[in-house]
Amino acid sequence: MQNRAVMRHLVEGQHIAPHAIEQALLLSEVYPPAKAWPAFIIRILLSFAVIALGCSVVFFVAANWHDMSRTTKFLLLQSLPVLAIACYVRGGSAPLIRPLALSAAFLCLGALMAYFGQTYQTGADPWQLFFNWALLSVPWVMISRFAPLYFAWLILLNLSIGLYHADLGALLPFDLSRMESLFWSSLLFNGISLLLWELSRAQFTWLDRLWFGRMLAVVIAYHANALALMAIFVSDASWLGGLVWLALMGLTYWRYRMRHVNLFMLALGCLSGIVVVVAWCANLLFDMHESAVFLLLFLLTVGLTTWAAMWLKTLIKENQA
Amino acid sequence: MTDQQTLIKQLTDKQCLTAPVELNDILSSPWYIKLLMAFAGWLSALFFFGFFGITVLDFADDAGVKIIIGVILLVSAYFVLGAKQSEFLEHVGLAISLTGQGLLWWAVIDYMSYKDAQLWIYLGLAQIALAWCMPSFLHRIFSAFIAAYAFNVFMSMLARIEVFSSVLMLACAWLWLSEFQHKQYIARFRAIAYGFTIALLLIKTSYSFNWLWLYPSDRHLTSAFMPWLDEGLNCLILLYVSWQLVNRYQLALSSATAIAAFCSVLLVGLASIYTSGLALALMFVVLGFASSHRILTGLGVAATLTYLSKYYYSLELTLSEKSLSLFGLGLVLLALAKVCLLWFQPQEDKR
Repeated sequence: MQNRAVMRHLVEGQHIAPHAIEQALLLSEVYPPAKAWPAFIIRILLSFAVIALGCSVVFFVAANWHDMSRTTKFLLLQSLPVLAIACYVRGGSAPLIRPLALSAAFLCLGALMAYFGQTYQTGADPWQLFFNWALLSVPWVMISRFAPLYFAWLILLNLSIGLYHADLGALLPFDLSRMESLFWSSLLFNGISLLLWELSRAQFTWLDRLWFGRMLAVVIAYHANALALMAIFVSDASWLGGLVWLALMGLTYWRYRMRHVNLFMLALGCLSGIVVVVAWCANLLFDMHESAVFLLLFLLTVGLTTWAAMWLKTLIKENQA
Repeated sequence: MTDQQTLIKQLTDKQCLTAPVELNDILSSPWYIKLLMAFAGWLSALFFFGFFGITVLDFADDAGVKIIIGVILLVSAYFVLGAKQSEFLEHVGLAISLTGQGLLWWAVIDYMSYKDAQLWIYLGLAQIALAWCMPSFLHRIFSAFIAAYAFNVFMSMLARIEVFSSVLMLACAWLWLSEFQHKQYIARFRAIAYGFTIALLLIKTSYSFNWLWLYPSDRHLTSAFMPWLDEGLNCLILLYVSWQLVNRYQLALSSATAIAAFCSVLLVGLASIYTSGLALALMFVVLGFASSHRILTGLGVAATLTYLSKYYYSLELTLSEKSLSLFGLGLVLLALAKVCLLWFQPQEDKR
């Protein structure tokens, strides 16, 4: 629990004398110390300045885009990644400049590739744009040692998978429908990503960001749930989706409860469980009177949620002990 | 010793605590567990609505019956939510309350048109009352959000929509700045602050995205002066925030640091006057930092990007003019950053 939450509880429970509230807030650093403000002010001014200037350039280019010749447009788009890489090379030891410069180069590369495809009518499908963009940017992503850029790279590959299915149909064999193939491919890709992240986070501390694993887990849960729901509701969908969902729930329990407690992952597993169990029951109760179905589903949802909340709170207590 | 135990010890040493506190007493759920509860609450409410819609409403075609059932449900929800705190009761209470409110709204719509300004002011006042009375954090956020939305529609009908966003911004600034001053009411005010904040962020985007439940023909024209008044008021609210923060750190108003802070804020406010919403986003980032509130900071950052996207599509200025205004703003901010570096560096060196 953060100091902020502790202080809130103490103030609410009137455990702190009214005259000492301000002092306690400063002591707990919920109100940051005065010496922290200069760095914050400079950071906020610089960040907003960079955003404003960046947007100003984008707006200017958009305003004059139609009047520019093709050569000018190419020169402009090619110079942007070069400029960003120059910033990276001359970035010095400032902690954020170099990874941010590489991230900017990564984004500019996408703009350049999009314009290239548009100008020369390469016939490439949109999925190829994102896939090639991801492929060409591998070296920059590798040297950046910057978790947000790695995540952006994963988003590109996820987009490629999605767009491939939208344009060309199922990617996987076994007579899978387009949707099933999309969910299986995304589940597999993000599952491998999460596995690699788990294996490498101890070695590469810059990759050991909680949000990274959490975002991947959310994507995996979404696709596993979609497969399980298809197995429940779609008659010609494979039952394997439900089985894999079940296996993932077991794996989550083993990894994040038995081996190393991770409350976020367990809460996500509970949410996924509630959705699938309620959907499964709704399917079973399909023939009953509608009002009875709604009432039973209402009671089931509340019951499952209460059980999940109590279990998670017990784990919090265990962790704090 | 954990961070929390260290904090409790420090507070005890400084004699800030009125009585010894056990860490177990202050157990709180992390945000993602609250999110899980919220999702499940809404899902269960949906089923409860379905059950109610099919069974009871067959007998409730009459508006009077709907009102009676709605009021009974609301009163029941109050007692359920006020009972011993448990996740089960909180979600049952939330579902019952939403069903009751839905029925009341349905009955009222039979008598009044949604284009009637009075309807929105009544809705706003009723939601404020619910936000204050209902003993549930989630319920309070929801009610405060709907109240702000209803007042916004009301002000839109009076052709004062721009001024209202400034009023709401001032309310948010005050609520977040004085968050810890409300003692036993802290949870109540915090929930209302969240509801207002979410509403304000959406209201500020509404000029371009028209998310309000109004057609263009329903919206009364405002004068060209009004948006400028709104941005000017936003600038004054930024000054109010900086004044409060200067007071918090017990700086004299006439000190060089305080005067420099006010001038900088004024300059930033004026430089961003063309970019509607940027002053608001900046305020949330600063308020978030001022009370270590990461969610508020995150909302401010997200709002910055949203308002800049909105600015791109606004029709009041040409793209070149917008580019120029942003360029000017960027230069002002860079210059201020440089001044700050020069100002603070000698003080750092002295330390």
